[in-house]
Amino acid sequence: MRFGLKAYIGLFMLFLYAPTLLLPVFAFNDSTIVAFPLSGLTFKWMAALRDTAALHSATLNSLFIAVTTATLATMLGILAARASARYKFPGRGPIMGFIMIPMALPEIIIGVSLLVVLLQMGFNLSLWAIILGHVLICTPFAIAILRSAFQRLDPSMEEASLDLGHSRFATFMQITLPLIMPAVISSFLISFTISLDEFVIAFFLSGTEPTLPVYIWGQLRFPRKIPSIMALGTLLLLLSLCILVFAEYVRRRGARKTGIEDQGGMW
Amino acid sequence: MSKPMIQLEHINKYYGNYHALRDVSCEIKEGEFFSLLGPSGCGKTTLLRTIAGFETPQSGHLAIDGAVMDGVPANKRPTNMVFQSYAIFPHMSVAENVAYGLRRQRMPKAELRKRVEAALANVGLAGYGDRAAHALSGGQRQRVSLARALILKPKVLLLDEPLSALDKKMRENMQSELRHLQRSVGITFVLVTHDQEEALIMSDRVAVMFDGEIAQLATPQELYSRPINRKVADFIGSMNFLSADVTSQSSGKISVSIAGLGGADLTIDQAPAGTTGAVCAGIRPELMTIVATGDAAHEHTADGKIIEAQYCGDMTYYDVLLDGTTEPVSVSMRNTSGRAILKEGNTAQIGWGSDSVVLLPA
Repeated sequence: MRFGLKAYIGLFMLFLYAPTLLLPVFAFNDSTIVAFPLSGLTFKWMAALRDTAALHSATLNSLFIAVTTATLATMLGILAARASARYKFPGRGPIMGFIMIPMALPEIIIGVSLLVVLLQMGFNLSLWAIILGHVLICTPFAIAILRSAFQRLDPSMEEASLDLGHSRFATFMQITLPLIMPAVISSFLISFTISLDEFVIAFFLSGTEPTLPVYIWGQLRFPRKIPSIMALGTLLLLLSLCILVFAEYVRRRGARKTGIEDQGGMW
Repeated sequence: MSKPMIQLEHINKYYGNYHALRDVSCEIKEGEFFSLLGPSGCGKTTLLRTIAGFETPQSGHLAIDGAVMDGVPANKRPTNMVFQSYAIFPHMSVAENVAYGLRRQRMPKAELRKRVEAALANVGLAGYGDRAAHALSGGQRQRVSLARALILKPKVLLLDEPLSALDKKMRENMQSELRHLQRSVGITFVLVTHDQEEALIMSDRVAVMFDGEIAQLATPQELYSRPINRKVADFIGSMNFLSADVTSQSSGKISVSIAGLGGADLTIDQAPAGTTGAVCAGIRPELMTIVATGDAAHEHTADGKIIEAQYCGDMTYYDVLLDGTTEPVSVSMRNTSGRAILKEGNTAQIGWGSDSVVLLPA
């Protein structure tokens, strides 16, 4: 039984990570065919990434969309999370429910409906159309993260600041925001990550400016391009690891600085 | 001392259908240590938060130092508050916490540092400025919270159950320290507490609150010796209640017959106005004595039987069933040298004085 459980965990981990670990292996393999045995070390796939202009513009598009989406979703998230954690107002339950639904809604529905509505309203498809869709799916995650931060925040912190003569805005900037900062950063990073690798909405709304996932999908039609996709995947993997480490560092530092007991991370 | 600092007029506060403050009116004088005492849910904290500006009453008016506070937000009121949780900002140092209220006033760094250091010294935390706020103990947080509020020289300092989170020893220390601090700064303190002992020890005057109303507002001595009704009497210390009848009443004198104790002549200030017929006589356990041989004569005596004796070191607590009654009374005796500790079943003679009795509505 013990052995069985261990074997199960081992297999699970293998299934989870082995495909990912193949990315860096083939990214430096000197062959256009993705197969063993390996045929030697090369950096030409990485060099190819450097020299592909279309890839650069797709990357810039994706970064622009992800940063804008993360910023907007986090700002909207702060507003909604504070309102729902602090105030009782009529219809709070249903309103919050409807805001959170896109978390579970199939992206293809959001993609198709936004496409139809935007075209009917006479808007051109653009990066902003994708941002609109991404904000819609990221905001619920931002709210979920930020709401628990607001719920943990002692309401007398804000009252104490008001009591000591500061305005509501000054209180928000000097007390509330610093105290929820770890959650703000978490929310930003999660939204950033979701937006960066989102495919379906981006595919429907991208028009003539592809995002990175849409670009990668396009390249898969050419078997010769697959090794450079592997190289690109390796870079994205590194970027995700960096984001993860940074997020965890921020969270722990926040917990230590405010003396709040470590309550376990997002990941 | 006689000038009113806070005037509350007909304050009503509802939360939905719940009537949290019922037509509360009172005056808090300048420079006094005033306590709001009552069980949880009696509205004392709501009243304090109304003074601070965190709650808006549906009707009634509130004035601080003569200025009406209608529509004045918390950050514009001449009050500062010490919160129950202390609300020390965890992302700031002790000095930054204390200086927080002075941030809006542009002042030279050296001047600011001097004032912060003085404020910290005032609460016994000289030299703690550079510490991280979250590394402090409960008592130290309490002091930082006090320093942070007092540095702004408010007209009124509001304290919301400030000692409830401290352990017993620390609480007793802080009680006398707060009292001394209040005398030395001369600021009006309004304290909210559910601890009757704390209210008696610290306050110049106490307002006892039940169900959103002030039941009695009096000095600690008055409150203890002349409670206005059974509820107040029961909340402040403990009291024996015996049924009694008013037998005759003339100018300044009132004669009663108390079940188990017998008749007594009381002065009129021991009874609520217009008392006649069946009433309730209250007498504190420590104001009755179990008579021992060789005691000086007592004004009144009554006989009974000890049904329970509880020895507690410095005191012994007896339950005595007085002859002709069905409910025992509590009698507490200090264990002085030479006094015997009596056992259950012993007969005992109770000595008492008519000035120890207070008549209450039945």
